[in-house]
Amino acid sequence: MQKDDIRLALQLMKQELKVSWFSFIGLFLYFSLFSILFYTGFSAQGARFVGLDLFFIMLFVFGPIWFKAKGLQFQKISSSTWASPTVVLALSLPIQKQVIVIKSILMYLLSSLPYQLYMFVALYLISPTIRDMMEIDAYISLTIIWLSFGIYTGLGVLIIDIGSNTNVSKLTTFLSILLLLGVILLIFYFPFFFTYGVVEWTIIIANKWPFLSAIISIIAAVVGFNYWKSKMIKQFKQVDFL
Amino acid sequence: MDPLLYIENLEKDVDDFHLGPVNLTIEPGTITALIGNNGSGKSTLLKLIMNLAQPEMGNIKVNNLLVHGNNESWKKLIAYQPQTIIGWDPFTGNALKEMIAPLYPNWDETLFQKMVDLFNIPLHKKFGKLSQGVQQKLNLALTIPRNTPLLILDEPTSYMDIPSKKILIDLLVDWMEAGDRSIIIASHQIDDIRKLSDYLFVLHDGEVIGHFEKEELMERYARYWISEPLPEAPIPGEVSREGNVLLSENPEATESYLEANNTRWNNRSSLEMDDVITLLLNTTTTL
Repeated sequence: MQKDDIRLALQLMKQELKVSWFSFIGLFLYFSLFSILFYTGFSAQGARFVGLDLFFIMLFVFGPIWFKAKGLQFQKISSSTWASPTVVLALSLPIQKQVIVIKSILMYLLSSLPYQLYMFVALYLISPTIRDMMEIDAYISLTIIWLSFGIYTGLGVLIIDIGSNTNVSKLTTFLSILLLLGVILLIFYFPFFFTYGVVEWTIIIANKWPFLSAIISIIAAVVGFNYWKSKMIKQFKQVDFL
Repeated sequence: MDPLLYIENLEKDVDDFHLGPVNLTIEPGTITALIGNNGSGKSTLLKLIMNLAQPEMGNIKVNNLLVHGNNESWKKLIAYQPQTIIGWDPFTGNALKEMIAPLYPNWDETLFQKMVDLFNIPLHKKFGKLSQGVQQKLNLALTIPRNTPLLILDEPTSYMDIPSKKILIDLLVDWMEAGDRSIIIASHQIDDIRKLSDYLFVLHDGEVIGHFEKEELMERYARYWISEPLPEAPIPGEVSREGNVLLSENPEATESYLEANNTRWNNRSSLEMDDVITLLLNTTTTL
């Protein structure tokens, strides 16, 4: 990633940020609401978090894109193509694809990391259950685990920002829906197979190996960042913006 | 001099529509009108040039750089005004200018301000809140001042009022005076084509009908009012006939034949541009 690319990406973001202030307020309220929900979940069930795993994961993966400003949202741009309108705008200008991708990633991170961090800080401050359950170093590790998760899985969602052609076969659509349902069911039934839920497992891991789990998560985030960046650049070749 | 744009054996499939093979060369200092029926593939061709879609076959080079390659520096050489503008809605004219102008080293601020004044464009309003005509004017005001060697305009005047169309044509003529610049303009507006173009590139249902020099093309057709009944046999160059009116696509051959057969004509006229285009797009039409 070159300095010039980041500078140009930031320059492009400037105007998007100006029209996104309302979304940032929405994101703040949204994460506040989820903080209360998770706090209630923790308090009601003690250390158990069963049933809230799905919400937690969804929040970290899709949360940042739910509150995009209206004109910036992923939309149908032709009979068979969906894409982010700002990506289409940038493609017609002398902007390298790598810069378009960096700009999308930076916008995503700006709409995710500060709010996720805010939620973790708020949860620690308001929930005695969490404070009893975890030391500060373990909680920092837990925070890193989830912020990293938001990067190495969340950035995958950004592929749809680049664009997708909807004229895929019925079999592909069917298999995609099947896969999604499988993931949802797996998350939902996780505690029945592995005693604890996904979030509980991360709490256990963070408590047991705070340093190691944080380092592995950071490495996963860096690898994920680079993987999705290159995947997004390749995605341009798969889409016809007609 | 190397061509500014070079297209070779370009083909593209979109569902059951097939475009091409397209071969086209654009030299500096020329204006080419891209003409065709609705759905003929004009916008698709322009988007392929802009690398907004992947071709099935063929190459496109801008200033000798492959458009579908990894080097994207050719983008600085083209200013593209799409027919449907996507992604501009949430931004004001001022914001769009702030975003676009720094990307072009030869951005002409004076021309931009002139166009804003001439077209009376409110720069403080969001693009999505403007009427289609004003959106089109703003789009042009943010495209032409980029001063790139190649300007691509896709239906630039479709929503414009008549005085604005005239202003735009004058602006484009002035813009061309700067030298080695070229324009490709996709248009159904006969005035745009007549007043601006040097060349016509004609498409019909994705198939290339031809690439013509405008004046040569206009001289290629003639209409004759014959004073005597026409012979039943086809006349050389004949395209169609209606009563004693004969339309020829080869006036020389037609006149030689008529003179050799002592057939006189009262009057001969050239065809209007729209007649010629109609003929090219639909040879079965009687004019």
